[in-house]
Amino acid sequence: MFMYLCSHTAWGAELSEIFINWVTLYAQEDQTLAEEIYQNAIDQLENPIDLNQVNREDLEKFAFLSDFQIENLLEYRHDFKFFATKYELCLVEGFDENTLALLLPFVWVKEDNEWVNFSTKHLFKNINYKAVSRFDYLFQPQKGYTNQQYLGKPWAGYLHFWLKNSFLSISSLAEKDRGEPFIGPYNKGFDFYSGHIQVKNIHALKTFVVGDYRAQFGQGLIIGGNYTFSGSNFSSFSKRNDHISGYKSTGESQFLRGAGLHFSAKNWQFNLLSSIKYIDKADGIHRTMQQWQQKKEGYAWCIGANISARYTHFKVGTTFLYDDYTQLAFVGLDYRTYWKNIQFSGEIGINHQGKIATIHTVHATLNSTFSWILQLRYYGKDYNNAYGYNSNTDTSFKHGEAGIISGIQWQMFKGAQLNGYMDLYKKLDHAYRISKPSVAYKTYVSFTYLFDDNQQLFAKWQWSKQEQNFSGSENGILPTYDYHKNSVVVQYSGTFTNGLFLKSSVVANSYQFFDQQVNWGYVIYQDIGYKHPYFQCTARICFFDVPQYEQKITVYEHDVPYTYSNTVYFGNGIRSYLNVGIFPYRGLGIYFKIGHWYFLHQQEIGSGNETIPGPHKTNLHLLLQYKW
Amino acid sequence: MQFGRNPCPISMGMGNSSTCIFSPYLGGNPALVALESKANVQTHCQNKGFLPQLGTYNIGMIYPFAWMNMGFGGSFHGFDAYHEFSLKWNVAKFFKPYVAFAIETEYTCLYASPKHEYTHSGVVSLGMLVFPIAKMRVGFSIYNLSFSPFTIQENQFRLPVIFKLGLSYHIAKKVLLTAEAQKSLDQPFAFCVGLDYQIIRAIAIRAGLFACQELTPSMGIGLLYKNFRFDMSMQYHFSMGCILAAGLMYQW
Repeated sequence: MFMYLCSHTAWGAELSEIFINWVTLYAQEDQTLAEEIYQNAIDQLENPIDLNQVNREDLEKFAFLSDFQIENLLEYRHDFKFFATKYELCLVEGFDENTLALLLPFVWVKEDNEWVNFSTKHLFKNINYKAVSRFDYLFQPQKGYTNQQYLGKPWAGYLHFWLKNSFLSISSLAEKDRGEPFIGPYNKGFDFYSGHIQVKNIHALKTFVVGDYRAQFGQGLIIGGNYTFSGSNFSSFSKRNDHISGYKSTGESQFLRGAGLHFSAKNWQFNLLSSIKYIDKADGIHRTMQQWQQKKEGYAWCIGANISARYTHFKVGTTFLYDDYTQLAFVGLDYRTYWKNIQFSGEIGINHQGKIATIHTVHATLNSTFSWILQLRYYGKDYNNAYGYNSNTDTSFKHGEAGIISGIQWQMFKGAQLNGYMDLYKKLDHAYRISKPSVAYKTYVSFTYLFDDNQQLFAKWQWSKQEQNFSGSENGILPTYDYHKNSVVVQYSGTFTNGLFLKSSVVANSYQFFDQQVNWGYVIYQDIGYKHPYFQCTARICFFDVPQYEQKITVYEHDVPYTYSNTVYFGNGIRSYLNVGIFPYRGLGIYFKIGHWYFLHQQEIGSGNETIPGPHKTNLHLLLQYKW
Repeated sequence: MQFGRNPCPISMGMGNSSTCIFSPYLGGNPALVALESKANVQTHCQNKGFLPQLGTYNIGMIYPFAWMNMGFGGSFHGFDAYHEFSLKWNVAKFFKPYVAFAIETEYTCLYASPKHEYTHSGVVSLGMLVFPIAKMRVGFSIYNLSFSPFTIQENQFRLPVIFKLGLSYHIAKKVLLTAEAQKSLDQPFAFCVGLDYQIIRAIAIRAGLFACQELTPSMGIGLLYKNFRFDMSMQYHFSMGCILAAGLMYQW
């Protein structure tokens, strides 16, 4: 029925274009968030959930599902006892074509509906193993290598091994970025190691994890950053998924390292966590001597706890955190409840100095096709919580922000969906390139139309206004002026029954600072792909002309698995790539991607140590994957 | 240099939209050749500012074989002291009902001035058309995907590399609306919109707008009589004045 079906059959399980569009839209320019969503979605794709076993908590992980839809799905299953096929979802009220297109690849209906209760013998049964090795290489020498500023070689790589079943997950990962030393006086091997051992769903013990993990409770004001399909997504304005889970990404900062425990007893949930790790002031990149010295600048440790009570239409929880590095203690209260078709959710967080952060959301599902949302937020400028995270804003708690968002989501007719929101916010303190408190707003409208099961037309318009220092300096009292930014995307994508995939897109944006001339930037590209049970490939040719750095355009591109690739376009030239996957036998996948940049009128690319002489830049990604 | 920038009269009447229009002339999206069910011989010409030196003349033929369509064509632009000449061969296939592909190879020849000899090059171009639904087309083409250059006295001049991406939609049974973005590697972005209205089977009128640094409006007419087809269009460029194009075709 849907093109997404073929995703399961190929060994190189790939996310559908519709899902990729969704991720790029809602994660926007948050690369870390997008990577997290992407990697977890691949994991979910390989381990789809059973519609006859799934519970509310599992469904809430899918942020594109509204509470109205979740409620209807559970009610449908209660009324009809079970799902005979996953396509029965189209009979559930509120499950439109767009939602089905997003959800279907992640669910299935198990023929044998017997629920497996835990016993010790199940702990090591039905284990899926996976080993992945990746290698990246940049062919042109960067200045950092020729002037010997970079301590390592121009290659990057990682090794990742993990195993999992319903009760156990073990992961170990070793990674090195390009330019980081591998073996020698600095590193005795890779630059970054991560791993965890996690047991879950053992009677009342929902999760116990040792190693690297992420956690989120309430709206994320006290402890956040866990994977929730989050972003500026309409349904995920309100975060729903409290949990602790093992971390298996290559990001070197946004995780906790220590132990986490999650107990559930009837309607009560108890969580405890502690974390201790090095403070890395180089953000995970350790190529130069200075960055190397910033890698381990002391320790940061914290402890936290969360207790919540959850009923069908009501949830309340409280979270505590002590951050030893800032010597701040935080406590928060979160809630979620319903009145008819209206959902109310929110959280209040306060530190021991009395500084507050709070967020409250009203989400009204007026009927099965139309819903409206209103969100108020206030993050005090001295709230200063390094472990809190709420991605509905583009700033961190450290800087402070107050704002209001209102939006609609309208299922206009069969296959057509309109989303729109306006965000008006005030930065309470100086921020990047703004030397004083400032006001900004952003308007966003998107239209998605599914022609049929495998073809989509997408259009988006975004307009924003912010203030910026006249000289661009970050310090000192400087006059600020408005800049306006418009962004338009028109995109068609289609996957055909013979395995052919096509995507055409035009992206344009304009940037105007103060009364200066309006500058327009454009990116135009065409993708062609082909998928076969033993082979798949995608190729792109892209022309771009983006005159100013401030209006740089970010476009998603296909990459080797487990890599979410958002390419930033700035300058004038051509970008092309070829991405190939070969599956010689069951479980083995060999992938490579070769990408090339050609910049017109440029004698060098990049700046500083990253400068490449000449107008060409070519890189290679190679990935081997074995599953058994 | 006129290579790769030689719109047919139908395309010019629709603001230079060329990737997903209904045009049996060679010179636009190579994939359009795949859609032809009848063989044709064709000629079309273009003139800028009524200057005989700025004329382009084209002849061509499209023949549908059982397993794919082929097109052959030639063009000449310029005058005795400067001229461009090309011969092209198009191979196109329609994978019904969704996708059409084409590859076009072109031999190009340039005579830059009396003191320079002829210089030659080969160009490879690609085209594609997608039909998501019956009323809509998405098309793209790349001219000179091979990045072929001319060499004149040891200096290399690249032939234009042009990327076009367009969309067309039948807003009514007889009305086709097109929108297209074009990017030549060393030129700014250009956009065009066009409209084709089939008044009766024998008569179509067209209008369009081409935007690249300045707006260039255009209009055109198409006539069909038995096996003959005649198209004419006019574009008004605010600096260069009138650009005229006309084409004649016999189909069987």
